[in-house]
Amino acid sequence: MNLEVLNGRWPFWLGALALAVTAVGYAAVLGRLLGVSGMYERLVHARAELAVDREERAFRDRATLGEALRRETLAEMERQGIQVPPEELAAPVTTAQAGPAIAPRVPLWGQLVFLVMMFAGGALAKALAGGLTFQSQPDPAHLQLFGKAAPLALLFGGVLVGFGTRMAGGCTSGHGLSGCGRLQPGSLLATACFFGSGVALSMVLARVLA
Amino acid sequence: MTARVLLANAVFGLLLGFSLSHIGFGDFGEVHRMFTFADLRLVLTFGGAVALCAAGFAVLSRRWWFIPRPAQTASAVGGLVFGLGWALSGACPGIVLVQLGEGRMLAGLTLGGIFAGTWLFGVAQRRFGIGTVERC
Amino acid sequence: MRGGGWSGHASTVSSADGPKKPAPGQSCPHSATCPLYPQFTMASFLRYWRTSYCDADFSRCARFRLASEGKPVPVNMLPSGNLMKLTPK
Repeated sequence: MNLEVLNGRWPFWLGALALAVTAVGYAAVLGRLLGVSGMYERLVHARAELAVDREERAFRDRATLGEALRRETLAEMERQGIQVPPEELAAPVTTAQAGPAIAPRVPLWGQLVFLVMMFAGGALAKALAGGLTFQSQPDPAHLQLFGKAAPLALLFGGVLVGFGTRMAGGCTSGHGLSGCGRLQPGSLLATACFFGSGVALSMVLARVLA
Repeated sequence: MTARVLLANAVFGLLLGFSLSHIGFGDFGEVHRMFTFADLRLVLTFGGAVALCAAGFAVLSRRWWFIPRPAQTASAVGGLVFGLGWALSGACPGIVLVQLGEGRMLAGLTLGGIFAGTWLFGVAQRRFGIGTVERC
Repeated sequence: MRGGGWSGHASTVSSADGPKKPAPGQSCPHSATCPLYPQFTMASFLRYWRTSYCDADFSRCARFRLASEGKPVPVNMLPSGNLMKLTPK
């Protein structure tokens, strides 16, 4: 079998494997789901996100969280004048894993690194496949459909992508891979919808414009 | 941020960008052919990836808690809007970066649009309360 | 725009146009995803948060209000709006 790995047209099984390894590997190492649209949202609201990162830095494990929670709850109940029975006072807040672990959020800088490296990955792939070029014209297929309106389609399309992915709470990676992979109803619904409307509009465009 | 987190983001970001490019997702023609069913390679790639992810996450979910994603109206409406944008631009939030990496300079317009759309949604969410409600 | 700085963050959750008071018997819809909720069902006296917020008027919960506005919620934020600290105050 003549397998061309660097030709920019991977056979489906290789692409499937690569995407799955990325999504599952990321979650395995970090304990957080891979989702690119969420990274954009965090960047747009960087100030609030950095503040939250600062707060969360100390609470990386359930034991620390549990202990602080215990202390703060008792203080709060005291403020409210609620008595805690002595036997309950002695009960430990469980630090035993009651189920799977909750991983701390990835700090904002980590997400920025991820996005930059996606760009680098694209560049590397292109360099290996045929060499880096700078293309100031739209893709031929795009130009064929939209002509002079191509830049508008890119800009407006981008706005719809940004708005829609955040409204749905995910994109092809967040819902498509990480969500559908876990058979989550919201992700299955979102994925069906974005593929559905993508297909519908593309067919209309192909019919009307080409 | 620990070195481990930084390294993981760098490695997986590179891998995702590299893979998406070599699969062909950065090329509008390929995406358009996917959406018009002219070529099934991309959708088979995606479907295969989901199937493999299902196996992987079944194992991982024993170790890590992952956020549930209940079905909501916003999941559907947002999905529909996103799909329209994908058909128009050929990009999703990840793919646009790959397009730029591949030297398709006009993808900068798409990227600007994505940031604008993301910000716009934040405004709409605070104003009208739309969007999926999940993270607490 | 999101408020600058963190110290006033909880107070930027407006009470004027915040979430509506829930119907009686309704429980907080975020309990499935809230990282603190499983903790609230652990040691006995932690029930306090559930009886005061989650299973009662959860529209008072600072975590719920922030999430409803699409803002990130730090893991150490209590329903009362206080932020837990590592060392006792």
